[in-house]
Amino acid sequence: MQNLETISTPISNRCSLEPQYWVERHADFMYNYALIRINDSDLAQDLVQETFLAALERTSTFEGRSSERTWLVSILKNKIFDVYRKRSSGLTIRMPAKTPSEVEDFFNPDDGRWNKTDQPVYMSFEENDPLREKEFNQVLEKCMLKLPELWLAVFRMKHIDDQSTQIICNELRVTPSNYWVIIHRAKLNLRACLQKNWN
Amino acid sequence: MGVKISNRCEKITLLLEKGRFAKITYNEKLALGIHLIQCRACRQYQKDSRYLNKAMAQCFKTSKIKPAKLNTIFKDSLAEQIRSRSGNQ
Repeated sequence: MQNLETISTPISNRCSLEPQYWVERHADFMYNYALIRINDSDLAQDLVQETFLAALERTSTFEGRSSERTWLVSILKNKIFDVYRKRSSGLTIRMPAKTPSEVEDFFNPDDGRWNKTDQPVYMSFEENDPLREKEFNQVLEKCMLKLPELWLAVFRMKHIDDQSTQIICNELRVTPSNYWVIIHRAKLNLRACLQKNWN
Repeated sequence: MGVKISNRCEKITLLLEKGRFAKITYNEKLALGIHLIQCRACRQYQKDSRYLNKAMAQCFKTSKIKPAKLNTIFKDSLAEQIRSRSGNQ
């Protein structure tokens, strides 16, 4: 019965693919989509190309339940996840040797209390001064870019796409407990960086 | 005999991050609350961390979004590639 139903659904009622218009209709959108997520214009361009070419190969898998753009973006998304994974491979939770500080740099290993130099002190960034907001965002962005790629990928997925913890863990292949450790260390580093570079 | 929750700032700040988005136990909440009353540095961290979430989300959404366009040459060649490949099917 189910089979029959699938067969009898008139093709014309479904969305169809029109590859000849893909570039015109979707290329800029997809380029921007990739760009804000990977922050590398050459790579973003490559991903758009790869996505279109990969999509061409599997037009038969398009079932017409979603729009053409949604379908293309889902392919692009997977390519972006691959980039996240590739960039972060080898540095799962054991952090890169040189970049951000380990927790030991923030807390005294004996009593677990804040080291004097890293102790959070009052920063003025919470006062909403629209004049300095732009400036603050620039500092914040610089500090974010200093984080290891995996940590940044976590935040990108969390804040740009509002992905759930579970999806982020699955896609980036981190365990839930490592996930919290990543968030924690990233925040510690970010905070410290701002404390140093802001005011 | 309840599980003793560490009173170390290091553990407390981790718990704080976790507690913001996931379930933590009653004992953990209690330990967190008590520690925060006593520790000014962790209270400051809590405030800043909350602010950072907002600021980061904002930053991701605004900074790199100046809508960028692919250059025409690239687009043309891409369209050409698509045309030639879909013609072969």
